[in-house]
Amino acid sequence: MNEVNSNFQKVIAILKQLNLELEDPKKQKNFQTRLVIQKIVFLSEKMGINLGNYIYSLYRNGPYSSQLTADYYEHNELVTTLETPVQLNSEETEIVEKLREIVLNHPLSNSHQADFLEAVSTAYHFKIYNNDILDDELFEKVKHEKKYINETTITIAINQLKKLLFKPKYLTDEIKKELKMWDNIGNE
Amino acid sequence: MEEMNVEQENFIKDLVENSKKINSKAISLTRCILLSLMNFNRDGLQFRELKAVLDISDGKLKSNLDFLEGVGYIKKVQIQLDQKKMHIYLITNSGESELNNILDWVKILVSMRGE
Repeated sequence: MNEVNSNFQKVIAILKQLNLELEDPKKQKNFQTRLVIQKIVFLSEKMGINLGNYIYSLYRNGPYSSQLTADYYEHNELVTTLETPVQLNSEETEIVEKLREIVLNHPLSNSHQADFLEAVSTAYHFKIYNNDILDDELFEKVKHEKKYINETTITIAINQLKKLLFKPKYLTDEIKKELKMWDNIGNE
Repeated sequence: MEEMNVEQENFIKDLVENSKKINSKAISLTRCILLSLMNFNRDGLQFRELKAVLDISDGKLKSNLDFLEGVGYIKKVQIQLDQKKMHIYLITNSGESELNNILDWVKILVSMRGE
């Protein structure tokens, strides 16, 4: 067995922070575990956690990294024990907690976790290539790639993605002023 | 008519001999794509995903998957995804070896273009 690389150590640290109870990814029947790891790692990386060499491709089956697959097949026991010497720094912890709050704690994650994670990560993938893409167009693109995911799940996924991508710096004084004005209308 | 030189003769010999290593029943375009997709995606692929990629009818996809499963190149595993029972398809060692034979043969063809 090869030594565990530092990127995969960090993957384990992310899963540990999320306190996910995952099954052995090497067992063929545990497909959901593999899917959850793939999508969480994709989202964490795109949100700013440096995970080095995981290259993702997308062709109808959502963002997928064969390098990541190789790592969790080789070090499968770490996915269940969540043992790692790596500790996430405060910025990385913040990213993971945001992911938990917006995606994993969403009610859809209880009943349709796989489809929901696939829809969020696929929408994110398209957003990376075209940040100005309109919601309608994004919906169409995700629907085209994921014909089997229902439209409600895709719509909610796109909404949650917006929250995921939101940064406090976007909330300028001008926007704050306008939001306050709208709040005050309700109080009048 | 010019006679073949030794290099050309060896090339033809290679092409014919290597073609014998391939299971000709497996090498339809659809089956090659299925094996390649499963070789790339080691996590396994769902029927619905394969259908979306290939854009072919359920019947055509099912019969090709059944064939590949029948000759032992892929296996079908029952999984539970979002509380629903479904199947994934995975390449076997024998499927991987068949795909490598196909790729080796294609490489010989590609080398012809380079000459």
